[in-house]
Amino acid sequence: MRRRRAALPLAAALVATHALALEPGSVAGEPVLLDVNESSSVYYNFDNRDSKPSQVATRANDHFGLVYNRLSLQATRGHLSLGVRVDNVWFYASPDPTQLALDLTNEARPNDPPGYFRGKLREAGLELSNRFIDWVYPSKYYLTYSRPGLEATLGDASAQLGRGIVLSVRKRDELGSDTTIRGARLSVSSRGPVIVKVTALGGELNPLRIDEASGRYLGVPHPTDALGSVTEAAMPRAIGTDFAPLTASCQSSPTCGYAPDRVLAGQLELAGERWKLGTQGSALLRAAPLNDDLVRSAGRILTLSQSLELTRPLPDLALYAELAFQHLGDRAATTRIAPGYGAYASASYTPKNVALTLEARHYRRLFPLSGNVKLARAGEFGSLSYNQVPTTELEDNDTELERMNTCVSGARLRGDFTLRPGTRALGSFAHYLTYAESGANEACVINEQQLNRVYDASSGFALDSSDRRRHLEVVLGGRLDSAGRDLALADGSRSRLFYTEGYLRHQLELPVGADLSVSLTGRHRRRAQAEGGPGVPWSEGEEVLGFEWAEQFSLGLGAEYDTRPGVPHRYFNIELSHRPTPSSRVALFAGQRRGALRCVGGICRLYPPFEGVRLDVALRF
Amino acid sequence: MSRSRRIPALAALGLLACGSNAPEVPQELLEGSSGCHAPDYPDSGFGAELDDVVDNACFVGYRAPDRVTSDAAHRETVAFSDYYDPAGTKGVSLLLVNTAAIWCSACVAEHGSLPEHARALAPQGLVILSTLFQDGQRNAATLDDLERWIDNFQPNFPMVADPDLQLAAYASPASAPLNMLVDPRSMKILRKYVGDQSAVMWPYIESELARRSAAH
Repeated sequence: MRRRRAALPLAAALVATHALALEPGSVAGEPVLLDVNESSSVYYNFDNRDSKPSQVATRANDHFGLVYNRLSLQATRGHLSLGVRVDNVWFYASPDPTQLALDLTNEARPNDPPGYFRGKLREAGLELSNRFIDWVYPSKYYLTYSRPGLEATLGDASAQLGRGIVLSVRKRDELGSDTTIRGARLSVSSRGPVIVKVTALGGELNPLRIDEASGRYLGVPHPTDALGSVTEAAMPRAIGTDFAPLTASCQSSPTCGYAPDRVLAGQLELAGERWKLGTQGSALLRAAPLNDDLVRSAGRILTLSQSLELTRPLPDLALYAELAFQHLGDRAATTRIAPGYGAYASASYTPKNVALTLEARHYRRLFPLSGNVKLARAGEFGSLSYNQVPTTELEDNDTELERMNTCVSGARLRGDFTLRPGTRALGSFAHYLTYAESGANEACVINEQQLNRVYDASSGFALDSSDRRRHLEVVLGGRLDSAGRDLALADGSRSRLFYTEGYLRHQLELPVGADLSVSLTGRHRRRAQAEGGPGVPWSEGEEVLGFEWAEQFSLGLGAEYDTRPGVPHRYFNIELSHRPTPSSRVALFAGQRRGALRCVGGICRLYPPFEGVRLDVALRF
Repeated sequence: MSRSRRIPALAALGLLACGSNAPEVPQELLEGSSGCHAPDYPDSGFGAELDDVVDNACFVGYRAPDRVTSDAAHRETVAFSDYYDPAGTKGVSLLLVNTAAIWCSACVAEHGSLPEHARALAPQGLVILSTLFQDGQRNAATLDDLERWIDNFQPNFPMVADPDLQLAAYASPASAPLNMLVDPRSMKILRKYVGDQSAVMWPYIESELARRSAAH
């Protein structure tokens, strides 16, 4: 449902100061508890300084403003919970396609101004056809019955089976995503020395439809069957505009950005006191593909895995292993590839004063379950996927280039050693052989021509005072990614070094008086990418000086830099936040942030630079 | 296109909203284009999605960079209309429009193998037209950039510069490369591959060329 106004009065939210659990009444003698969560964001984006000649997309992300509300209500009575979250976005300022085309024409001074202007107007019209549109829609809703041994949900549910290879749909705040399965989920478990747990779920996959950072929305086609009519009721639809006609087919409608995927999944777990055996599987079923890449054009994807977890086979030891199989089905005969498989294992050894973790992976054609998103029109949603294949790397690692995690073997060892109370030494070392990093290799052909060797190491220390109020942590690290063969580079040179990086991370926290503490957190990187990239080595990083007072007020002063040619080199920002109660927060950010690839567990998204003001208010009643 | 233009009372937040009417377009921009004309080219059905007709676009570059020195003396205008072949008389069975940028690692990797595919499939009527649109810093590609690219990758197919990003309407430049298959009989878009999708794209091209050959 499209609306023209923000649904909730922000001013009322701003003056609310108390967090209360509401108990509006009772039903059949049993009290009903009502939880209300209200989260509002107000942005204004100025010129983020990423504009490039003749490029509409980098102009279209300037000078827009929005109000984004998320209102969540949950009523609980005994074992039953009923919840709904309504998202509402209202763009109070947005670029105009004609003005964009005029600006680009005036700057470019082309030989054929009318032809150039018409081309840019059409491009801008298409670009804006699924951006900066006001929507209000029920992003999540559910009815859950929960008691020991049984949980049943009708509506939206999150799920992770095993370590996420088979299925992982959940909230990822860092990427602004929150995907659920809109359908039914049932989980039943027994009691006794051996616990048997069965989970079954199915329905339509339901990502958030609005991307706050770009103002883009995911429009869906009109449903063609009963399930789609229910699950997509009142959700944002593809619309027709002056520049983007709405046709009968999602594939040929520019604003149709998502054809909802469906999934059937299940898990059987057997668990004893110190072990857990899991068998899990998912079948992803697609509508007509909106992209012709290998994964998104597969009509069915079957992923199965077997996992084993041993919590203490030996003192201080924990083991986990998962073997997976994946088949991309319903493909044209000419583009079939062999089924994929993978193995992931981790071992943790934690005797006194030592914590060692070894993680290993061996993947062959093990792909992310990418959502059926039209990349040509909604690239911001390109990272939408329904599983998360473990990378064994740092959670925020952003240097697994191209499709590294689909065809890779290797392991990472991490160590944390307490040398004496309050003093720890930290270190890690990883080595991977990758075959899909320096060139497309969807079939995962294993040979020297595809091989990259990756070495990643870090070393550091952490100091803590006995009361844990003072903390210093410094880590130095580096990454060497060598192709092992000469790569032809765009500047005519040749290189074997595909990617190199050295970095420093640090964190300092100091109390200043009884209620005030100061922190200094930073990360600095020196990077070089041979194939593609800016063509020269570059540095980037950030420092944040933080002050926190009585756990209620905080102030952050940030400075960032990026020495790549062609982008602004310096960025400054300030963030103020206030927690009037433990369950409410008001935060104001003003300033600049550099554009960057942000990753969470191998799922990455490229964010454009931000330059503007953002106010966030979160309240719970 | 309908859009909200209302300004909320956000003065307390210090935020400014801007509402505007449609800007006025100068008359000279509404006049006929002096650029890329081809009288026989399709005149309707234009768009940027599957089954739409691609707008005729003209570029400066090299029609046969493997046969001439890539310098100012040999630059020429290359247009989509050059490959429009409604009756099959030009011998074009499929047109693959490819985009590339120097910053794009997938584009660099892809151009390592494009000449080999072009060599193998040209006898069956495949024409590849590749456009270089940005340099390493994402600025508009110059003809010097194009000539360096040609020297490095030795393309044996038409290679042109697209500093105006004429193909950006078909897919965001940020998701390069774009490989767009066009039917030369109608200039309609058959497929769009966003990113380097060689495992899927080349088998499709081969099967489509075989199908078209059999139909003749």
